[in-house]
Amino acid sequence: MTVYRKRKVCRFCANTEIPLDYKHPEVLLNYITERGKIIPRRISGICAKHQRDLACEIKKARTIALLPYTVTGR
Amino acid sequence: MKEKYFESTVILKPEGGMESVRQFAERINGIVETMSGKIVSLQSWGEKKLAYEISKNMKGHYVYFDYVGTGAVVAELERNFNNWEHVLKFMSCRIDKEVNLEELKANAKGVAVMADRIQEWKPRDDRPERTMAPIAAAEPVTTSADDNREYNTKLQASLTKSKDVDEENVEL
Repeated sequence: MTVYRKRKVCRFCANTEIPLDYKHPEVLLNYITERGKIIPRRISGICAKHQRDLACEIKKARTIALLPYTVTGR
Repeated sequence: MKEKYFESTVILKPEGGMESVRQFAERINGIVETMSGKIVSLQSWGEKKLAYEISKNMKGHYVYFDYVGTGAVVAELERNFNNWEHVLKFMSCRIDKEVNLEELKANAKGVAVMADRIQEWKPRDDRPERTMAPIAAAEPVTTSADDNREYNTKLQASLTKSKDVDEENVEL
């Protein structure tokens, strides 16, 4: 049986009105793991341009304590 | 020096409440205006839980403001933030958007008025409905109704067979 996978679409290209900004951590939260690591784009399906911007904004949000650097089991 | 558009986010200690935000707004307004800059807007995001502990605080009062000025204004503000006891952490960055600086300065609102209220920070509710980009035409699906029917009959046949075997076993 042939398996057909749905082609992933970059969410930020599909809808340009979604804010990609460190001031909106609830959007960025979708692109980090439970441990706080940035999810690679081969998994999230984001285009290269937006992945670069996203990584930058996640790092800014971490600086100002809106997102965690790491989440340990402590 | 050339003027640019900057933004700063500052985390204040939560103990002071809105009074400390008001004082903070007045002080930064004084610094920016003496250096011929202009604060465009100031928002108080209220008390929020921090993602990690900062000098033994797990909560902080977030204040965000954007301003027009030279690089020296940013340097002076950051020098002051380092000295103020009630500032836990701060971050300044340049806004890359192409904006008309003169227009921004003309439309700037008073800082003291904005510092008086906490601005509701709910970007999730304001989010517009999602519109997906057109996806490449889907390829034809291999399973059809006939295939399903064939599969079902085969399955039933195999099931009845196994039942017969069971009955035989019981008889034995």
